[in-house]
Amino acid sequence: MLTIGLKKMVASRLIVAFPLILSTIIINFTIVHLAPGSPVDYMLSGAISGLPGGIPPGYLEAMKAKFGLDKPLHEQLVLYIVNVLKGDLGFSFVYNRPVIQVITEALPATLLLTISGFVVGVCLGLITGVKSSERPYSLTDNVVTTSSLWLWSVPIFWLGMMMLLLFSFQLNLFPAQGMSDPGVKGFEYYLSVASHLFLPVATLGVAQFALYTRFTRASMLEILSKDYITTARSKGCSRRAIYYYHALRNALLPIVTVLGLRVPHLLMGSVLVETVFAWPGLGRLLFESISRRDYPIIQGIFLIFSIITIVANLLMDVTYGYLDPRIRYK
Amino acid sequence: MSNNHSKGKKTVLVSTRKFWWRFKKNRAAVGGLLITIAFALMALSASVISPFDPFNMNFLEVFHPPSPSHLMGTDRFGRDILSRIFWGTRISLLIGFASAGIATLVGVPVGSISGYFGGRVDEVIMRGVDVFLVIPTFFLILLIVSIFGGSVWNVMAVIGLTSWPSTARLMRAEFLSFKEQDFVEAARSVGVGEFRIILREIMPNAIFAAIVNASMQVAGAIMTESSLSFLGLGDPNSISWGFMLRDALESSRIAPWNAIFPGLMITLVVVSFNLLGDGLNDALNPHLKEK
Repeated sequence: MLTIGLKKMVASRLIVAFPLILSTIIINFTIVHLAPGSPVDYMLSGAISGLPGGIPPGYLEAMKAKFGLDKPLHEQLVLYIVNVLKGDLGFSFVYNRPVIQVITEALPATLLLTISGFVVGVCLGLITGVKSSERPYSLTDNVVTTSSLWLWSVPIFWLGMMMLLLFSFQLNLFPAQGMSDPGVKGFEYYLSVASHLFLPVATLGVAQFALYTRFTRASMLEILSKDYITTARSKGCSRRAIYYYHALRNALLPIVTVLGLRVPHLLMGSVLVETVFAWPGLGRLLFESISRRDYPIIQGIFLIFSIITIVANLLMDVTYGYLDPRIRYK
Repeated sequence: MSNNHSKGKKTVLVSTRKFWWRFKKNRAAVGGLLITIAFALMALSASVISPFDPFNMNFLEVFHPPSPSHLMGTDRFGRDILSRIFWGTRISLLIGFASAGIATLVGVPVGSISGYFGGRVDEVIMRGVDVFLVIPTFFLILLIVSIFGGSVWNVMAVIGLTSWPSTARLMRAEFLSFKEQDFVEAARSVGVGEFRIILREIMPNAIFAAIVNASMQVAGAIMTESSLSFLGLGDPNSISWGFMLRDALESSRIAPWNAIFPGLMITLVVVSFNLLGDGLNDALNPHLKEK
């Protein structure tokens, strides 16, 4: 499917993505070196609570050798970058395991929540955005626009808490915490996950919808004023065909760009929602690591989220190039 | 307009009176402005209007529901929630205004220089700005605050210093478009110096975009601060709405009023700053609204 133009575009975007990933690694390195105390103190943070027997003998020497702490700063930076690129994000003394292991274990739960919330938010946003663009300043449009403005300003964790209060504590419709009931297997396990997933996804979806509906509406209104829509109208196309076939397809283009730029915001939402619903993903891990001062984990999560964001942006760019042939030949 | 230059008068394309006239017509924006002012008054007079000492624990009145003596109820230490809400306004507005201020003070000069001079300088600055616009800044703020401590000063500095890139990018775009306009050409042709053109010709027109942006940034910073305190990264000795919500998380089943009111306040403040920003934007760029 990849045309030459598209291949070229992917290559040029990859060239941009790599230095971005490199700069986040450098930011991490800088923070470690600016932190109070030596980098070793920093890496040992949380060791007191995690290791009752104290730091294993010989560990400090091993760390010094590994990070070249007696070498000049620029050599340390190179060593650090090489380590991170090899997948070594450091060691968590709280979990007594490498950071990358702890993170990759929690990652699937976060991705499940984030992607489901994203899909729900985008679908809701597209549907309501198109609906409100059909009759601007009508009652429907005003309700959608006003509610999206308010929802956009609601702190997502509070929205989650209110969902919890209403649907879980008052109406008893959904479980309040965790990812599944203990001890269920097979098909029942999936049902249990789905019922646990409902409220967090609804929270994330509703919060995201607020943004996407505004963009969809604006983008649709712009497209609807174009000449080719008038042409479609005058040749007698049905309203449905005009809105969903002619207009929405073109209105999607700017929306795709916005989706890419909102990935950091989406991840932030997931982390906060996970904290409310005790969802066992990276957000929960982050929440616990903050109170235990487990810096290597916090740093690892920042790095992983940066990489996810950069890759997501890359994917959005490629989608954009795929949807809009004009971009490929620029 | 051109004979203004010899007298050193600045050229402004937006008239204040017209601006206020357009702003007044936007009822949502005026509402936003009024609520903002109300919150500012609340923050200034928190010590006077609070019915109780916000730190005063009273173990005889733990988790009391809203009543005439405690209008918003009490929390798990028997502290009056209404008083804590009033005091919490201080932290939210302080961090909101200070971080937006820092972002504007850094972003405006950087963006102006980048946009006006272009070339190498612009190239280097914009590469740096791009990094900040792509990486998930919230997690960077979180990392820095968790390592360097969550004092009010740290939080406002970190939020401010990570949000200037968007201001810079905006100012750059404004300068790029203004520097080609006739009145700037005219100033240049009569021999006005570069920095004088930047400060007296372009800045008075371009600064409005930064003001609108700053209003939105106040809203964003308040949201970021409450999210940080919710995750446990605030100053434990101060009163913050996010921190109150974190406390309420464990007790929201038995004492929902703990969870409801602080969140309502955050929403109200953020909405009003967003409405204010929207209104300023519409009043400053009337042609956008007509589209």
